[in-house]
Amino acid sequence: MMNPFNPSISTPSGIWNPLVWILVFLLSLLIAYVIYLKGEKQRKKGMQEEIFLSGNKADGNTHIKASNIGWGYLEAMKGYYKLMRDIHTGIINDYVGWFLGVLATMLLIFLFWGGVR
Amino acid sequence: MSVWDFIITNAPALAIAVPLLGAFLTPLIYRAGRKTALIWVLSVLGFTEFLALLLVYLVNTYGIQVYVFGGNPSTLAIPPDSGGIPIRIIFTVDGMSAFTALISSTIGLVAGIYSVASEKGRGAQDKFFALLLLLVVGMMGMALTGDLFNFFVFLEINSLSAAALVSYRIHGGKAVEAAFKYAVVSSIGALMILFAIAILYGEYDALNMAMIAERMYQTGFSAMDMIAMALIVVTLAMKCGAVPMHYWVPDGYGEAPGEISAMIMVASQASLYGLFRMCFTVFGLSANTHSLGWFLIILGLLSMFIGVTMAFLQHDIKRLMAYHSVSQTGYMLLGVGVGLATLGTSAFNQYGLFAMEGGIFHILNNMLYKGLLFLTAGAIIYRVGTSDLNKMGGLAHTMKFTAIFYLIGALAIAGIPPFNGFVSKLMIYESVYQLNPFLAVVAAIVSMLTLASFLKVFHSAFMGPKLYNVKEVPKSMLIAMGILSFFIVLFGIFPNIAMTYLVAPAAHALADPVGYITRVLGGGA
Amino acid sequence: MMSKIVRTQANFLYPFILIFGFYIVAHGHLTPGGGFQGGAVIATGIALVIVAYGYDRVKSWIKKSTLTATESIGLLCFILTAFIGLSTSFFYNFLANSGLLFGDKVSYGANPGYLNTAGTLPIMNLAVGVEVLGGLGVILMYMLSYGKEVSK
Repeated sequence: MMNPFNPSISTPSGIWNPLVWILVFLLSLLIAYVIYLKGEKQRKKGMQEEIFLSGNKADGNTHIKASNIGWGYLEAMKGYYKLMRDIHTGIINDYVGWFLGVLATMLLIFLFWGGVR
Repeated sequence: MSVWDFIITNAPALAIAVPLLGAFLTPLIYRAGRKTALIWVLSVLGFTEFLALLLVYLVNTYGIQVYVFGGNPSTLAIPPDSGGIPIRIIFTVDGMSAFTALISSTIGLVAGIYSVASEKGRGAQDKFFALLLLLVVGMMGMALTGDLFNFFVFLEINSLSAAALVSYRIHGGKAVEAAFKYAVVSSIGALMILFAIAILYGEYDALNMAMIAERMYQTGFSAMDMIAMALIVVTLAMKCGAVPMHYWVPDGYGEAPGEISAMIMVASQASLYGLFRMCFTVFGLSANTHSLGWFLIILGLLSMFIGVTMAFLQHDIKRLMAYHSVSQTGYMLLGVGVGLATLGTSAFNQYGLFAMEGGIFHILNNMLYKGLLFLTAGAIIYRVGTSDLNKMGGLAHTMKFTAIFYLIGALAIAGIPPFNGFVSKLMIYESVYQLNPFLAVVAAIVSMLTLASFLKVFHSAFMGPKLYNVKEVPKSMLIAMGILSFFIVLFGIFPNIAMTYLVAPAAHALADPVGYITRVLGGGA
Repeated sequence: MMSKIVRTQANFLYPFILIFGFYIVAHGHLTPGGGFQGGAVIATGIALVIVAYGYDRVKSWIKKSTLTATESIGLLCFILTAFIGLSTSFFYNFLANSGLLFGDKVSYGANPGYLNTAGTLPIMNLAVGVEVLGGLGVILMYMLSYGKEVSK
């Protein structure tokens, strides 16, 4: 039996240890902080610190609504989502129809691919 | 016989008898006031949780537990005058059953704690808590039973109480429609299962899973068995929400109250348990497990991909999470499907068993983080009053704890270390790519899209300017979310705790149908 | 409220429906039927009364809260009978062949059916009968409460 308090898990091709990961994470935070400390000391107040959204100055209203997030991705996958919207009809007859369809497919798979071991 | 011995001897029966008694007494106790009823419900749920833990301990220490209802003694599976058939209802508890019972009772307890505050001031709570306990009974019964017809009965208890709970807060008729769809789909599924059980009963004169498996192995896999197997496997895949039979999932999970969504999610994991039990124990010895395993893998791939892409599109927080549970179910089907496809070959010991462990660990992790996410969604809806993400924003200004809990859940589901989701996903990736690299590629892409859509929720609900002047949710809801968060972090940093006591015994129990059959029938097979 | 003829018929039939229902419940371990079927028959008696007299009158005779309490008590009797057997195993039939209530021994072979046998089974049938009577009764009350009285 494994030692339950040993954090590392060995996978077929490696090993995973969360404590080592946390250590490395903290270390990288430290390195990032060191780099931050070495940064430009003479940065100016004002313009440089303000937030811009698509070239427009965002006056505290930087919130993007949920439906607008990932617009590019949704636009690129338009055809796929059209198909998906068509499939998801919300009609219960279709729900049952898909269920019976998969049932028939399963039977066919077993008839042709061999059910017996 | 001391009380302790008594509880140990009767633990499998008590695990369903106690919540059943609790459910039946709740409407009467509620007449004495809400506080009394809540103490009663929570102590029943707590005792059930204790019994589930006890079962895990017993199974890990003494092996498979067999309990015969109405038998004298309670371990006598085959009475001498029965002609060698286990005629009574038998509960057979192996590692996988105890594992499922534990996650079922845990989510029941957490949902019970959560609903102390979330249901406060709403109507007809006596029946609400009775149904909640009945849902726990349904899940526990499905997990523990070793009898096919009994499995059907608990499946029905599960579906009916879940449908009733979905429709409990009517929400302008929407919830009723969702519950109606859920009820219709699950009734048709249950009828299919009943038909399959009738076929098997007609063929083998037995309803006990072990007996059917043994007789099927001796007489060979017939065409009727194939029909029964298709009916059972496809129905249970539908009940656990695999694409393309997942349509009821967003409706049902999306309209239920938060804690009920979490419970129904685990109830569908109980169907997943049923699916694995049928595939491995009942049909595993006789049927072609390679093609059956690939069937599960393909369902898993479809569920993962279509679930997550559809989730990204949603702007209703509960529907979005519901599609994610479809996608997470895909991981489990993939992991355990790879185990099933390689069962009996040398590849099984190389990576198949590890894939199964990954899939089963994912069930536990999914219960934790998906339950947590549904609870945070419930908390948001409790305060904001809408589930539409477009109308939300800036909640992290005031609901700080909810935001932290949400972040823990979201990072865990997206597979970011050091949370628990990463461990099980890593186990699945590392093993399934040895069967086919394509599987691991799809799994990794799905994980990325999961992160993207949960960042979308985090940004639109919690970030941005303060739109609502709301308070943090009440304490009992925070405690419920805190319990789940604690275990997410614990199992993330010390995954071997879950692996040693829960996951590995479950995977080994599933992979060993002969041991199961031998334990029930004593010899044979 | 329906016509005098219907009400008289309902008055006449009501006790017989109840007796028939309880007959099915009580003979559950001997004949086809049992707790659920018998309870459903009893509940049809409630439906008959509501149809004949109208919901508004009946709701003062039969209270919904009484019916739900009946339902809970039936379920409790069932589960407690199962719990009493727990000294041996859950659902253990501790009354069968004990010589006590429902405890007569049955000799091997065909017989006309003895009521005083089968141990806990008749008790559980009675419990289920009471539960179904309450449960279906309250469902009927809710469903028929939407019926509108038409005055001629």
